[in-house]
Amino acid sequence: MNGLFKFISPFAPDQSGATAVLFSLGGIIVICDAGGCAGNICGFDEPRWFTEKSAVFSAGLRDIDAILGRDERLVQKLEEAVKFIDAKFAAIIGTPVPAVIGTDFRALGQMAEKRLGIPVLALDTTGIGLYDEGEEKAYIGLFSAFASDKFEKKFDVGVLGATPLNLPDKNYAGKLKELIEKKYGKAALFSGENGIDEAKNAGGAKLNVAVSVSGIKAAEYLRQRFGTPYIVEFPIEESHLAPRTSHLESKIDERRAADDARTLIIHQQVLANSVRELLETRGETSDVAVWFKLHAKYARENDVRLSEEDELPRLLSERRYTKIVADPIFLRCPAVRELEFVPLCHYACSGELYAASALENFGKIIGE
Amino acid sequence: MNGSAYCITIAELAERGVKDIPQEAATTKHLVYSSPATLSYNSPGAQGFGVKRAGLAIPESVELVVSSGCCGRNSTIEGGAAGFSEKIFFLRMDETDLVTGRHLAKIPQAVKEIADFYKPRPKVVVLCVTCADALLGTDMERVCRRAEEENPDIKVIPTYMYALTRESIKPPMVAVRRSIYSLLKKLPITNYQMTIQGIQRYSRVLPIEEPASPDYTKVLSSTDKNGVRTADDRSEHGTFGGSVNLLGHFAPLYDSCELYELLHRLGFAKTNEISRCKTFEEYKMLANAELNLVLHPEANYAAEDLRRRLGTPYAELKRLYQADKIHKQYVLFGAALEQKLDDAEFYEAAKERVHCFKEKFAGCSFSIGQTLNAEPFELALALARYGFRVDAVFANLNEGSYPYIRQLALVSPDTKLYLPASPTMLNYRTGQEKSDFSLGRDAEYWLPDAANVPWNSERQPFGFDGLVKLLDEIEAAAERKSAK
Repeated sequence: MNGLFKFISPFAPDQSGATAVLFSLGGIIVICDAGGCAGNICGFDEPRWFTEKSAVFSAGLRDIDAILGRDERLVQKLEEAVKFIDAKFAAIIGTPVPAVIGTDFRALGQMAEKRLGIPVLALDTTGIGLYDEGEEKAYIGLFSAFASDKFEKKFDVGVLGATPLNLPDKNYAGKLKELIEKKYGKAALFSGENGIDEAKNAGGAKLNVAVSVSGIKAAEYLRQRFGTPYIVEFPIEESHLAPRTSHLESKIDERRAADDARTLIIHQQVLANSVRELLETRGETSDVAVWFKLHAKYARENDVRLSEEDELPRLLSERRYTKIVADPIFLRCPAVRELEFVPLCHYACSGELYAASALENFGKIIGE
Repeated sequence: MNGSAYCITIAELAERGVKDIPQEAATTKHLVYSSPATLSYNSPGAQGFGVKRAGLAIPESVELVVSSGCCGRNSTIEGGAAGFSEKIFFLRMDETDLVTGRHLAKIPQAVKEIADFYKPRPKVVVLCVTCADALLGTDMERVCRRAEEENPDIKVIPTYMYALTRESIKPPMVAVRRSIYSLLKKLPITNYQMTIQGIQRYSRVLPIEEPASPDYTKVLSSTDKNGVRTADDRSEHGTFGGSVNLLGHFAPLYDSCELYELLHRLGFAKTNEISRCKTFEEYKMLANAELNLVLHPEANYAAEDLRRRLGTPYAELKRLYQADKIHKQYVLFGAALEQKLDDAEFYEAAKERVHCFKEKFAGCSFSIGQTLNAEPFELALALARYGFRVDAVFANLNEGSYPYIRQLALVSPDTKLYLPASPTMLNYRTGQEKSDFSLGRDAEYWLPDAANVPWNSERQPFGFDGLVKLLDEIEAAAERKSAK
């Protein structure tokens, strides 16, 4: 039945995605919840929380706050907090509780901004959406609030979507930056290191690279506002890409025409596409499936978005795949266990469960 | 950052008293800081035995979490790591469900599908609902009845992961302790049951705040003998011959705990724990117990519910680390059952272990967190009374801790209290407090240089055995530290 999950448990939600974008930027992040959501975000979806100090708070809502819609009280608590925290901005992240009571995040943000005297991003995440939706909202909020028309040219390339939730290993952002810098010049990840300054100077980039679908909307926003071109790519070391021979190309075309791809790659779309291209240089055709956003422009004909659990075994059976490249958590599905399985971790799916072997697994795929 | 982490000495705290609890301790009055040390507090469903995992304590049960994705998320990792993920299923709520409650109509069918799917077929499906349903005002009892009507061989019960109600009189971990015993029903009259009828008039046995208080005796003296068995009707061997339930934990006590032996000496033929029940049939026999013994204060509500429904009296025994108080509590408990409970061999062994420990670690200092198998202030008091320096306690404050705080102020007035949920803790410089030992899984975060004893096992320590094990663990941590 729709909505019932027997094998797979829920993926990182939008509130975690929003927090992932803002986590290291030096602001106060208030999860508008009773405590459980903040615990889930920090303890299960944000690996940096264990190693970096960050001002992440729960609003500590109680039933009476929710029933009476006491936004004023939340703003008061924020006012108290900024007295002893030197914050560049504040962010209020929505959860199911404000979603149920219909909190007006726009008004809440404006009221808080007026009282606090610092920029306030109020993001109407609901805990129902998935992490990439939250990331998208956070990026747009971030650049709308901070990207300055008086930017300085401090870096060549802006990178969007390099949060731990999008990566094959939670610590892969550094490597990703290195690869991007090798190809395009000095990079800024917009999600840490130099805090909010990078977002302020986003207009100075010559190019933006979206390494996840969650960054495309913001890349488009920056293109419209500053004219910055963007590409959608999850870079893989050139040396790992075997040169295609004409013989191989025709073989691939032949297979595509015959619709006989036998490998299914499940990850976030941009990374999955890169893995697909890598496999193609080795003569292997594959399709991509995502549980998150599937951007039509970057999808091929047989790529699919999954939303219900039943769809996965059905897809495997109908398309007769023999091999699957996916997070090990999908091995909980019996139909997956029947195929050749190549682990490719995705933090938004399995968090810390397979984190110890995540980088090694990715290295095996790309040939490192 | 401006300012510093808020802290207060135990002496000042005791002087202000329970009527003047610092504002920083009131988690409803400020933002709640999320440090790695506060995860288990902030997210009662997240770590160890939260609501979801606790619901699975009923043997032969599976669980259906009815929520938006974010609430079920942690089970992916926790369930995977702890090996219970295959027993948890999810019914995802979408935005329309949040507003209309439409998802409730799907629950009977979802129960059917998971019951058909899971092998062996479960006897019980535990529903776990979250804040959204709390706000929607969903009548979960009715939803469960409907699910049972459509699945007659399955019991369906609700558990409530309502973080919104954390400071209410029935917070989630209290409510779930009641839920897991809610399927116990009166069984056909047995010899044991006669005893239950005999003692059903026992009022609640109050916990011993000051261990000298003779509460048990008072309570039991109120028993009448109106034609049914009472404490005086024990066999010639002085035994009831029935069983006793230990309530409060979701994992058993250590097998070596003296409580089992002492209960046997008091005449209980069998000691039951829900976590040791292998089948649903075995679980149902808990209804036959003569006494419920509450070992965690959050189980008092469950015990009271069982007293009302089944007539089973209950008593609370606290987990203590002061050897003399453990002894006194046993003596009083025995007296309540009108018996002399001889715990001398265990008491003497514990005293000897404490003596050796004191000699070996004289002059050492401790700091104590809150994620551990102890009441932090009682543990601080125990260590201070054994002659150790207690530098700091990192724990949320509640009224129930004040009896210990008052006594701690007398022996260790300078001990500092930090409030982990206070937003000012963002200004705490990791390691600013220095002690030789940190106790509690969370304490390692605050004092990374101290030898840490997590003292947070799922198997539960209790009594003299718990004290001895703790000292053993501290000694092992010291050895690990010096080996480094």
